[in-house]
Amino acid sequence: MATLLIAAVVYALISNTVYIEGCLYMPGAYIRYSTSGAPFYIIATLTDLIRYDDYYCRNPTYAFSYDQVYLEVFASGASYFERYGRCVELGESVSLNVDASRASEHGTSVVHGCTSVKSYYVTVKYTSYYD
Amino acid sequence: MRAIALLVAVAFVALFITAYSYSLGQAKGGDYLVVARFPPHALDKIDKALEEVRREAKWASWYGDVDIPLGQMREVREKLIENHGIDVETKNKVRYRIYKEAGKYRVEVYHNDRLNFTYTTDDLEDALWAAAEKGEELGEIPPEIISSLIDYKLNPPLLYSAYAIPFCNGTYYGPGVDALKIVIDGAVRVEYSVKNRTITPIQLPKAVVVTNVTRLGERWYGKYVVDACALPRVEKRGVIAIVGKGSLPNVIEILKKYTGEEPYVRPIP
Repeated sequence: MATLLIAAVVYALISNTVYIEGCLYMPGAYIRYSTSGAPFYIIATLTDLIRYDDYYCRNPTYAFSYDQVYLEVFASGASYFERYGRCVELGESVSLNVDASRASEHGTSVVHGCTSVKSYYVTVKYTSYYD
Repeated sequence: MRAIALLVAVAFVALFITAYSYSLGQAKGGDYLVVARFPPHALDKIDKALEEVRREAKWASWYGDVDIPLGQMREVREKLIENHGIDVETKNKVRYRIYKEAGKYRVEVYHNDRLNFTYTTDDLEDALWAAAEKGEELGEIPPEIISSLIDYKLNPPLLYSAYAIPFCNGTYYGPGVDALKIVIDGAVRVEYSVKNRTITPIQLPKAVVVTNVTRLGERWYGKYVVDACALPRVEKRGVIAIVGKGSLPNVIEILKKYTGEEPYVRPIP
């Protein structure tokens, strides 16, 4: 008698979202978030960008649509590192298909590295997806 | 008198041409640019969502992510370290500082707030490897150190985000460059050995030269855009639309249904 084995696989997708925010107080300043884990996909989105006419986020001013910061997502493991970074405007994202078999850490960083504006206050939404 | 009348007539014609040209390139006031990026498990729903959005929007399309390389990362990284330095703390509470002082690079490592390692060198790469060696010894290398080494050793391009949209008529809005280069996948993947001080690339951003487009301006509704039909391969990432005020709530609802979150909305001046 043939036995028919039916395996039901329930596809469960888990995502974790964190918001990081802070003042990029001068060109070159950066904020980084990292955590343990091996997601298969990570994405960071610039959700707030306030431009300042002075260092240390003093004197807020109108943020022009051309204002940009360098947003990066990264993952790393033993002797392995992968990343995707680029200059983005408000509302834009960077994402990376992570090699989950090699990654044990992942995260995002935002750097004041694309314009010569004095300072920016930023909020970044970071989501990691796990199978 | 005749000269004044002629001048007024010329001014009117010029004003009309300017206004007409402007209206061709701009949406009318009260319109919104809506961009929804789809999460990885919903990428196959982009076409269906687009079909629904098109019923409400003045214009809508799918878009893909591409980048325009405008500079090199080694120069950017050197400048960042020269102006600001690296100052990071790892999860195990070890702080790393690398900065330039009097023409030399100095590495400082603090463990439990106490300075327990210093190193001074003329060479930035040497400073970064010294910090990495200390990080490996203490169990965690800050990502900024590895990222800086990648930039210094491999010098990948500095990328600026752009939208690839299938206009299929050679549209390009972006920086004026002699030869337009577009990066389709900007990811960097490397293996590294601190002991041997080597960075081995697995994948680096590769630019393709795009010739069959015409530059129409600096920005399209504030964005760099390039015709997806002029590119070899673009993965769909989301939906982009121009929407009137009255339809905006419906479009937002449609996109939220598929992505699970609010799309990015910006008024078009």
